[in-house]
Amino acid sequence: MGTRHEVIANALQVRHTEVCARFTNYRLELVNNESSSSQFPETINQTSTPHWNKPEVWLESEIDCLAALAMLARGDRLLETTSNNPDSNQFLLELQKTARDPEERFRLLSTRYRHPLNIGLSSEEAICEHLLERLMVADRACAQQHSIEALYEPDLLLKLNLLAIKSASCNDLRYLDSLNYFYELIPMGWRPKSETAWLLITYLVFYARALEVCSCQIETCA
Amino acid sequence: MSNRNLRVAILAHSFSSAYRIFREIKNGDNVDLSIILSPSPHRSAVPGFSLNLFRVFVGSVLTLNLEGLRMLASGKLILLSKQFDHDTSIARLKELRFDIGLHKAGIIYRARTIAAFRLGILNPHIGLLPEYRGRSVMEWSLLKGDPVGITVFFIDEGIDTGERIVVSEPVDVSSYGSVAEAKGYLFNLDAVFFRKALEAINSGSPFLLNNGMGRRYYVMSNLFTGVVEELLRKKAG
Repeated sequence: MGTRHEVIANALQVRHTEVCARFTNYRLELVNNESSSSQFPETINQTSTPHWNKPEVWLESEIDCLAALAMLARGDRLLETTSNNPDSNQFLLELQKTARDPEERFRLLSTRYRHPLNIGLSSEEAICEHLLERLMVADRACAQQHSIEALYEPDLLLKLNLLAIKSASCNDLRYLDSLNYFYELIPMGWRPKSETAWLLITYLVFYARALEVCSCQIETCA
Repeated sequence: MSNRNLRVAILAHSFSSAYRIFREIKNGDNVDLSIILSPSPHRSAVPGFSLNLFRVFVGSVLTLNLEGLRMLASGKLILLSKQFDHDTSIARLKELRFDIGLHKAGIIYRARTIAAFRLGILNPHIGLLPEYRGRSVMEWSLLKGDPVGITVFFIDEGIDTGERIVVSEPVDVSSYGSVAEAKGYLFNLDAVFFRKALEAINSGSPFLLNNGMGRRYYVMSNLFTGVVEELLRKKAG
């Protein structure tokens, strides 16, 4: 491994350790009130983060997006069937109209990605690019000019979850770095107040997974 | 290209930043060079205008360099009372009939402002287009092991998507031991690269095509910036 790859891999390893520690802290605080979340493991490390295969075709799940995210983060396998891709161009147009309506964006995203692994399909590339831009331009600016609390929590957390899954299924470092950026931006003391606060925990699980995948594939990522 | 001098205006918010570019280009062949200052968007228009006028006078006296005053008297230094995208500024820019604007103002221009220049507005971007669009592109190039460089291109309303690339060259930053030093070096090459771009236009060199196939990059995290810092430190030895 060359010097550059070594330096990157070391940084990813350090961050992975930090993310695992933060996961443990958040889990203690956030999951106690959530019946479903109590099933999250007490700790995560390199051998216990959930693994999944990047789908080749569109998958349908019988449970909703949030329940599916919780299951994936716990390492459970979703019951799934295959299906045809729904139109991604039309969906992107609808998504672009929600610039000032994060609640509607949350609804659209959670409806389309009932099976969250579909975000890694090549058909979703333009949608991922749009989500990355929203996160790193509009959301970042809002959080830095005001505070993280100025953002609509469920939308922010769902985007972070989906982009973390995307990051673990591609070798594009921009996605991983958006997770790095928000990990640094979100204050340690921030506790989401919405019913979907536990999405902060699943985000950390998927982020840890993305860091591991990138560490293993560093020579193709960078 | 015709023998007529290119009418070129440096677009800036402060005389000192524009004058650094002016000094590099002023002796170039076939270039008729001016400076246009507008108030910064972060200041109200009238104080911004007054502040620029004040700076030109005080700066000229303190440095015993009367060029600013001479330019003002000869009409080569133009002070706008509104920002570049304001209707009255655009009308004034059209009257002045410049061929090219040189971007040295910290703003994103609207299409109407860009269209006020016959050929457009040139931007020195510290990344190699078309691949490296957007923010932190020097850092991203280093992180990915690609060459660092500068691209001078005619802007459009998008983020580094202007189709006409005039100059694109790799630049060695390996002797700089930090991101701030390397970036500072690249940013300070803007005047040199503007001169190269104007020479290329005057010589009739064909434009390269920014085919839009590159990726847009975003502000880099502290984690990856730290990686780039370490890579630069190791290279600089």
